[in-house]
Amino acid sequence: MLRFLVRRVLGAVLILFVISAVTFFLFFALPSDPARLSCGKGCTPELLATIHHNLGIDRPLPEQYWSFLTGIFAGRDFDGQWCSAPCLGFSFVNHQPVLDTLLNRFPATLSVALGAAALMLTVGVGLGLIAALRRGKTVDKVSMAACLVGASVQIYFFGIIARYLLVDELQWLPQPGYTSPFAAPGAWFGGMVLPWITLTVVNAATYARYTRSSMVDTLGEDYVRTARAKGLSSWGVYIRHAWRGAMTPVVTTFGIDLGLFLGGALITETTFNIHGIGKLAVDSVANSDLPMIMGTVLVAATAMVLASIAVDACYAVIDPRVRLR
Amino acid sequence: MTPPSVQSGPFLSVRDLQVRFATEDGVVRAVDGLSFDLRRGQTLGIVGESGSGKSVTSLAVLGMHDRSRTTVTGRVTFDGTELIDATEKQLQSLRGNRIAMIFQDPLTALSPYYTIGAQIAETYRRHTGASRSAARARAVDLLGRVGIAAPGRRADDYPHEFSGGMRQRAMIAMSLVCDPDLLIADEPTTALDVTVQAQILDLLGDLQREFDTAIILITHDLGVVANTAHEVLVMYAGRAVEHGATQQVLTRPRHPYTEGLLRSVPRLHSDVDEPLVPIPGSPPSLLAVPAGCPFHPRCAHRERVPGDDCVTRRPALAEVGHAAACHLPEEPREVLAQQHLQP
Amino acid sequence: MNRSTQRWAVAACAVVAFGATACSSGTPAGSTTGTQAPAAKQAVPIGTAADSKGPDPEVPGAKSGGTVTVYQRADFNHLDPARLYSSGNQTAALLLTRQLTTYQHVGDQTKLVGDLATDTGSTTDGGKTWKFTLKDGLKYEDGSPIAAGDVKYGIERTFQKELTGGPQYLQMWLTGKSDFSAAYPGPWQGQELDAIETPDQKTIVLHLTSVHADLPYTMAMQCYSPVPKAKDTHASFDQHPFSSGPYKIDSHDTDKSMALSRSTGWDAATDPARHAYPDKFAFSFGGQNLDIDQRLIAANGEDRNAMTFNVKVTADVAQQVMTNPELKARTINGLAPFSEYFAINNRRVTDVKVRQAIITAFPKEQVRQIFGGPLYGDFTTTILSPVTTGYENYDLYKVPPAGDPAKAKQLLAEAGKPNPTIVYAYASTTQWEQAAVAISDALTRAGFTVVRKPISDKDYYDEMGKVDNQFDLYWAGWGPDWPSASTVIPPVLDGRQIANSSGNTSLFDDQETKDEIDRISQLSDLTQAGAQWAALDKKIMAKAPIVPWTDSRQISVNGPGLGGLYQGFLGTIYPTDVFVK
Repeated sequence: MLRFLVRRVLGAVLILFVISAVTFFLFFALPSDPARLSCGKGCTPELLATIHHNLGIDRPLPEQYWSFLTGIFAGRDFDGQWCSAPCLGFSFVNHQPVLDTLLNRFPATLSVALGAAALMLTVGVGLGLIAALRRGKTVDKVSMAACLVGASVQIYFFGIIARYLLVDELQWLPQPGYTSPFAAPGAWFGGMVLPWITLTVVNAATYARYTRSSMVDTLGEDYVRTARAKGLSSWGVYIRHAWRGAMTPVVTTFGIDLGLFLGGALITETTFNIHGIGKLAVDSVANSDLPMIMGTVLVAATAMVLASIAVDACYAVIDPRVRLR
Repeated sequence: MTPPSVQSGPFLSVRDLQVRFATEDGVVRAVDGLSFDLRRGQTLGIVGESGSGKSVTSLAVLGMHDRSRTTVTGRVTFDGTELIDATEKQLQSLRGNRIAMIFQDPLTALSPYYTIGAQIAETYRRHTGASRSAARARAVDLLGRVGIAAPGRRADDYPHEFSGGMRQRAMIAMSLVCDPDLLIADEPTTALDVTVQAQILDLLGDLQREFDTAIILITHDLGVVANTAHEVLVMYAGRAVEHGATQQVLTRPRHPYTEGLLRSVPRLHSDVDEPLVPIPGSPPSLLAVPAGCPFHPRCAHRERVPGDDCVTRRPALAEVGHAAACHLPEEPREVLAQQHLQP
Repeated sequence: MNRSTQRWAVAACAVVAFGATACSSGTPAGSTTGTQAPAAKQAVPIGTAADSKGPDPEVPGAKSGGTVTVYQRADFNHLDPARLYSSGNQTAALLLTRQLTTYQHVGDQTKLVGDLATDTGSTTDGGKTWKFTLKDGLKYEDGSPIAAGDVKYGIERTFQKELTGGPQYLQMWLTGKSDFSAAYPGPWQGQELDAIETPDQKTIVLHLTSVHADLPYTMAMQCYSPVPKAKDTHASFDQHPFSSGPYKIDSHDTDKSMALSRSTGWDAATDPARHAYPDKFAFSFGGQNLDIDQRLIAANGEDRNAMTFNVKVTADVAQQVMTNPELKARTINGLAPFSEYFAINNRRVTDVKVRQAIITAFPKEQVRQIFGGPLYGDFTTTILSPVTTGYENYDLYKVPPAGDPAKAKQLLAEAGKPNPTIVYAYASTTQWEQAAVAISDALTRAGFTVVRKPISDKDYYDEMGKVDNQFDLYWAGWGPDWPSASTVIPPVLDGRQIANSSGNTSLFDDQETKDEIDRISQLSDLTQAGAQWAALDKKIMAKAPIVPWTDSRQISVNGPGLGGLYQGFLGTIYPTDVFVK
């Protein structure tokens, strides 16, 4: 186990290093210049050069990347302004420390991710279980058809329609958005309902279908027959035995989705104006805000890498035959 | 193994059992009019090639077929209870409790996700409501009794940490945990190597004597049946073709199919160089069972039957004594038996 | 008005390319019929010292109190006065800054009046030296007095190289150099700018190096606001400026929200242009245009008292807004001071007849339809827009909005080039793709061979702004910084301004035009200058350097709980007179 953790964490650090390097150099491979945005009307080459210098992007690329890396581990000096480790630099756009902004935005992303993940897992797996047990019956056909519709809907389409109907017209739900759950739990919940529902509608189908097909396979396994021959109740057979064996592919998908969500649900956050990591990423790309792009990419990559480690660890918990090495 | 001395009336009685599956290609008659009786402490061997309906019979007895696709008719009476019409709840309380099953491949039949001890205890708790610790003690006790060393420690192991024979012992321990009256063993030794086979069969015999359990031993291996079963039922294409005391059926087969089976297995007492003769052809599709005697396309003795009875008329099986469902007259049948006895 | 507003919209739309919210280079409006353009605005006259006295005349029915919610597509990218140059930022700064002069809006009349100053400034040498006197009782958000030195310091800060993005008029006029930071680096290293004198705490004297009669208008730009040296937090000032206006920032969570409350130092009696009726302003940033529209239309709860500075109604709701009387009553529909045109590369298309043929063949109507039709803007045939002093409406070529291919063909024949090749460059967004097809079709009908050249929308401005670009025709836009043609014609059509990414995107370099610019710039009579600029507009159009297209419209819905909203000079909806009903 320890060996597994050490090995995987080292691997994760390597992956993050590669991703950050690729992001960094790709950014400069693009022809757009972050300085243009702050240069404004009547921009002169001299002014542009000044801004390049102010932003620190007039130095050779490897040197810039090295500064970025050392900043993370040892802190960094920005024209007299000290940025202590782990330093991700200052935004090109608003000159706020990137790390502060990321920390400020993360709770919103976390709220969206955890709530949506829980709801979508419950709904998706529930539908899949019912469909598997009643396969071929009306319940199965209706729920699978509903899933197909859900999976075909786009977040921004469903989100905008749902918001218009439920919030603007019927006023059943408050405006979506993030409030701190510690300051106002009610407002937090109300603001999160629509994003959660939207992500569930769009994603639950995947879980329902994985669960259904995996359950159908597992129900044909010998050990499930044994469980029935032992006189267990239907529930005991389906959940304790069949579902236990069927959950592995669902856990894999769930891990990846959770990782994606924690890195920021781009479209959902943008659609519902939730100021999380995803919206920050979209905005920072629009602004050519390199330090912020690097920050959001690192958050997303870290979430993904951690999720994949967690998924592997989960395999070992689910299936005793799996050894963590 | 010797038959027990105490004889009692049948406590499992199967009459005209029919099991039909609806498939996309048509109706499969997996079991077609099967009847037999079994007394306490007795072992019935059901023998046949794969697809002959022997496993389906055992599942039908326990009501474990897929009810949406399967039609089961006939009567199965277990100790006075009619099982065919029983509710799922009634069946659940019987399964693993008074009627237990052992499956062919213990590796796939045991859940890989729970420890051996937990799987055994689960059955016990389900039927007795025992506490967790009592159930575990019972599981460890039974593991010891089926011959597993250090059962207290091994109870916490997972199936993949056991050897094949040990897994089957664990499976048997699990089936015996509630002192069942009837044990259905479906090819319990097929997946094991020969020495382990013998150990497992001995174990079953010992346990039968100890608990006075009735056993249905389903196998394709006549050798297994020879040493363990009191009676043998030979199945072909969903029907019983021969039924009688083990010794009689094995030494004086009255059905050409049984005789064919016997010729296709090596026997300990025969010469090493005696050729093994496989039955020509292959078992029929259950979607299209040949009319008349289903065995007639493969039968070597058809010419001895006058007329076209073999092709048109289904032979019946007498319900008593050593019976065979065959149109062969008595005299050629004796020849059949004699042929078989010749070295 | 700053091109970067437009640029930002293009970039944002590129990344957040969601189907439901239509995006264009500007912000589109829907195609509805029957909307009549309100009458062209009167140019802004200069008010008297009496006009400059506070307080601002009461708005009928107004009362104090309440909170106004403001929805914005994105946070203000700058609040540091020295960096204010886009209309959204400048509108926010109306609440947080004061200037020597400002625009006073009473009824339908807008005048330039003294704001911090007692009048709009005085000059004794025809516009080279300007003197302003501060009013009494001027205070910052903490109650400390606003002194003449702070105005000087605020102007000096605009020289600081780090504070990029702001306009540069006054800096160039004070130093006589376009590279003004070389002449004076700004105040952070302790140097002062001698061209600004403050003989006492109330008096400011500006010594320009040349005559600039329209300086009073220049001083209304928010970048020339007072900043006390002691409160200058340098780069951090951008997030949380020290307010000289009627409100102060209570909290500012970048890109999420900002809360304003009344400044304790501001006194209505000194301010001729701001009322500050509401107790608080609550800004909410982010959200797509359609969402903001729907919230403002639905007006539930707090949204009754919500407004937006510059979010235009999207095509999706335009029909609803323009046909529902209740919504129409709370919709502001007016011309913004932003003209869009198609620049012809005058270095590549050197034959005036060919340029005229492009103007004649150009399908203005079809292109506007793609961007939402009449709500997008009004067709124009002039360089100057109706918001500039002296504006004269004329139509030199008398071409129908759909274009006249036959007449264009004839022009090409006269030029002896029946099939010239034209490279049309455009940002590769859905709408511009569609527009490219329409433009290509129309020009092809006139005999042109059209090569379509899509450019990634993020790089559009950089690419088409290059002096050596290989394109012949491309979209561009410009807005005046005050209601004078001097902030349009010189930056857009003076050949001496040509540089990479300059305002002269058509690379038009004409001696007569340059001479005229120099001559009119020296005029001290602004009314006369206005008339001369308009005449020059006509002269330039005869040389066909650009294809004038539309003057933008700003159409925005506001919550029914608000009164006192109007469209100000910046083209945005102004919060200076707003009140909660």
